[in-house]
Amino acid sequence: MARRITEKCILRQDDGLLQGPGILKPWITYICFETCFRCFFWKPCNCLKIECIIEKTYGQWWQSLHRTMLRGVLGKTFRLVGYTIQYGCIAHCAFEYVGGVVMCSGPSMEPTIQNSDIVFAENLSRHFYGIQRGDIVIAKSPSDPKSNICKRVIGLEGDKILSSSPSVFFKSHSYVPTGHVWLEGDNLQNSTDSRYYGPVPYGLIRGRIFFKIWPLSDFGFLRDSPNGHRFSDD
Amino acid sequence: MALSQGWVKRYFKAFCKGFFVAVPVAVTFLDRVACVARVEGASMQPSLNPGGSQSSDVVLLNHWKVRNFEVQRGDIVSLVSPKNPEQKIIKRVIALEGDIIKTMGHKNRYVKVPRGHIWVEGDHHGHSFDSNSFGPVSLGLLHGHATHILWPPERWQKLESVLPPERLPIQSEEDCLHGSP
Repeated sequence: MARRITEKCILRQDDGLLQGPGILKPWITYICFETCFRCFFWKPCNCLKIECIIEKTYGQWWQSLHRTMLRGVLGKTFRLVGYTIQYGCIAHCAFEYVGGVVMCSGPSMEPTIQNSDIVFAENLSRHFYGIQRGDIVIAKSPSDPKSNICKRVIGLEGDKILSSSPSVFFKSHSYVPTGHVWLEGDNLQNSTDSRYYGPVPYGLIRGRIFFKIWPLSDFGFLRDSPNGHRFSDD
Repeated sequence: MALSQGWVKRYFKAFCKGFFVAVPVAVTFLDRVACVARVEGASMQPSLNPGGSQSSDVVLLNHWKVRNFEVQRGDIVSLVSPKNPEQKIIKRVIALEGDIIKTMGHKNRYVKVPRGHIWVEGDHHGHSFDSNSFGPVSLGLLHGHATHILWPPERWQKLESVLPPERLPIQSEEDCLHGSP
């Protein structure tokens, strides 16, 4: 079945130059002379005028050729897998380097963050080492690397920290070692934090929480610590 | 003229499309699957960098193997330094959680490795900044498992997970569970 070109389009075949008007033979690859792209019969060609003509005259035959050839089931599966990988990678880059939405559970950060609140966490501060005293951070748990903890930074490296419980008479101070931070929950009575497992290495911090999304009654930036007395002056 | 302008725009579109596909895929691969790193320092001699500063070994770090934080005694692993989060260190795993080991130069003679932590040491004792200085490290700091040396070509090899016999734990978690003293 031959296809006729009636517009002026320069095509080159392997054995010579073919200039329209002329006849395109089926199953032979032509190269658009101007742009050097291959023109297959079943692939949209850069010579738009040829595609138009062929589409118009051989509509039905063209469609079935599309369906049975490269656009077959195999092509669809490959394309689906390709898109999944591509969007999965973009999602990974976004969560790892920009930020994401997190749901917090547990009572250790009340009243600032209640159980099952949804907050927004950003990871840029961690990468640029911009975590400050008073920030609420998400970190990997030191005793279980697969779970995350959500606490406030009370002291950075070198700070003097009150490491004993407030009820004890003889207070003991200690200094936060280099490369570590001291984390405490806002709900001091009901929080397992650095007072229990010691200072946490900076490398375990995953991101900083700065905005609450749910519940809507509490929408907005997060409050400062209700335990201001825990922060030391130096 | 009109045709050549269209060609430039088409190439630009193709480049943008390729860029937004290639960069996230490459970044994800290097973060999650495997990457390559140059080893510096003498703390892992003679296994790594036997030539000192003349030739640094380049190792293949496998992130996929440690995605569930599963390591064995004797593995050479890279981790984020607990003393300096901007730096990564490469050491050998000596003990896992629950093991009791005899330390070399630590303030306590015997240490029981807490839950979720490991004890790492460099092969070159005395010239290594490892758990004998900063204590057990949390598994969350684990970065990758060094499996092969890739450069220089005369040192191509698979790195074996071998624990020197004098560094075996005195009592390990499995011993406790099976009831031996």
